[in-house]
Amino acid sequence: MKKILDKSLEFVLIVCMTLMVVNVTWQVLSRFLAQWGVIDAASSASEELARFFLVWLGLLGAAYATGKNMHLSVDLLPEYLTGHAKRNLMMVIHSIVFLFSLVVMALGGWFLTKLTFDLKQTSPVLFMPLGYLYMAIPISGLISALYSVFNIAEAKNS
Amino acid sequence: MEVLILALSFIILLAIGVPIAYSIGISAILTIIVSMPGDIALSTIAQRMATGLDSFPLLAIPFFILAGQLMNAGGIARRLINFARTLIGWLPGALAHINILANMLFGAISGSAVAAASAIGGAMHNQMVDEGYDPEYNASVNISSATTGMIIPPSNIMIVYSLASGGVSIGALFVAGYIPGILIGLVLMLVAGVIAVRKKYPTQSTLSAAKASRRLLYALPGLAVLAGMLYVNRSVVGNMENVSLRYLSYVLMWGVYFGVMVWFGRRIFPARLSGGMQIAAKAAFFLFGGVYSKKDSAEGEDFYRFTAGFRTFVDAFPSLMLLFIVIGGIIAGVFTATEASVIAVLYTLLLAFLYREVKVRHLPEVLLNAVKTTSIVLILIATSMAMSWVLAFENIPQDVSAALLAISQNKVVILIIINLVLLVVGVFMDMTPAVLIFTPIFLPVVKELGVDPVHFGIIMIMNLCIGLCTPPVGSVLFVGAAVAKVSISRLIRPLLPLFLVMLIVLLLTTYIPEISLWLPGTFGMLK
Repeated sequence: MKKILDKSLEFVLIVCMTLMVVNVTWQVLSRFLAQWGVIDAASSASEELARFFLVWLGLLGAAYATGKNMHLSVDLLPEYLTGHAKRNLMMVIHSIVFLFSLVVMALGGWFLTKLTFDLKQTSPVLFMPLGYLYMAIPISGLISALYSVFNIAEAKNS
Repeated sequence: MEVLILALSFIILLAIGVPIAYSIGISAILTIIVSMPGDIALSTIAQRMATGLDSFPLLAIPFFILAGQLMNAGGIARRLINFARTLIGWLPGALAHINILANMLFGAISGSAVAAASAIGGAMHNQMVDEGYDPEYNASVNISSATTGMIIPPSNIMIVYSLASGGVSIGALFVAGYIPGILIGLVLMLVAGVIAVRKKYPTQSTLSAAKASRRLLYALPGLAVLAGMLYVNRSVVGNMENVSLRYLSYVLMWGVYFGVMVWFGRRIFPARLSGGMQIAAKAAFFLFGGVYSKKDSAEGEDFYRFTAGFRTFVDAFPSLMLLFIVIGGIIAGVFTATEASVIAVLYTLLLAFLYREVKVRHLPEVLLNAVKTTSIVLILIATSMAMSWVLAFENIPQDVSAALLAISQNKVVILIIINLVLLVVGVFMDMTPAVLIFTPIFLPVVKELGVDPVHFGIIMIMNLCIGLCTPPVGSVLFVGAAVAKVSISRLIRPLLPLFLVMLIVLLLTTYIPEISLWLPGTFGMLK
């Protein structure tokens, strides 16, 4: 289960990164082409798309990092403790991450996404509903929460 | 009340080991939920996290990280080490100096201190142990010098600072970082050299101190020419009214200068030196810095050394070109930092293929590595932006500003206080959130006292760089200790003298604005 999630997230993230590179490359190229008069105007849609990918990459990547326990932290106390105390502390830490992901990112993000869809807010160039941008937060929150459950279970069995 | 909740919750969460990004997010929500209804507070924090990332300048961060990963995979570290060996292999404790110089070059090209510490430190470590260097000494030299890459451009943290300060020019920040960064590298070399002499670490050649100093003397004419060029750049070209004429003059002037250097270099490269060519070669030595001189050894050996040395330069040249393309493009106003970063990606990709060290099937792995590093930084930015918004909402920057100005109106005193606070912050916090949270708090204060935002950015980043090498939150320290396989507690003592000289450079940079502002002023980049 966790492996499938890992692999599919990795795939999505790599695609996101590649598209970002292609996107901004096109943006730079189009600006020069426009300057030399080859095409009419520099691409402004690509800038918006690139930012969209950046938000999704950052938030989904953060969920992935939660799964791999890669986030930066001060690990003096966890390193100092051993045995039961360490196990309990790890469970507390993962539970705090779980709560933040579920309450702030998933729930708060859901309110936000729903609100922007209801208000029909769109992006200035592509007229894409902004809800698609904000949707990255609740989805990332849900995946993070799921990974935190895996982490809690793992800490409990250690 | 709100401040108390914020500080207490943040410190407790951090201390028990909750990831920094989540600690920041949680204390932000706890602080704001007192002041507004729950659902609005939740969706506001969520929104701030997303909009915090929704920024075009920020795109430069994943791209510079990706370029760094491509260089890691593309054998660029090894080429830079060989080049550094040619330049300074004759100093006592040569391998330490090579490590420092290679870190400065690699950190500059990749914009990441962690990447430099692992790529260069990893490649140097075994060799240093084989030649009898202490692992603790190696690791401490590697760790402290890796941070220079954050100050020598291009640098991701400067992009973050530009964002936090409300749009200070990234180009000006980049150029301002050169002299302080190189200064730190030089003082670290000085300390490393003194320790190396005391511990009798070997050099890489039999050059005596007298010969070495004579070689440095030969570099003086070259340096004088360079100084003259910079003077003309500042006083004549920098004052030109017409913008396009000014950029044209920059390009022509520096193009001719580097063209002459490369031309001389190519004339020496062929197998034989004729009589007239001797003179040309001498001139090239002067221009390049004159590290090699005929008087020092038998002609054949010297010639062999020069060609071998020059070959390492040719080998490293395409990698070094990246710096000229990226920084040159930004200075000349040809492209923005974000555009430069994507060009850096394409260029390193091309290089990695040309050097035949990366194949297409390796690319997904390289991309994934870049994504991992990127997303750790991005989520820190997301929650820090939320926190920064909460601070502004609670009027905390104004309060801190008033409190600081109530203590003193004196620039020297205020800067000392801010430096001390930032040093402590750097010890406990990662660089990115520290810049995003503390820039809006401190920048208005120092602006009021007449400190240039570019200057303050360099001060802040240097402060936090020192924090990168200290526990409990020091990513560079952890990576450096891991590649040298020594425990962190044994690194504290050998790091102390290095910290001391870094602090001295920090103080100099704080109180002599010219160290950071002179170079961007020369290029007319300051408003």
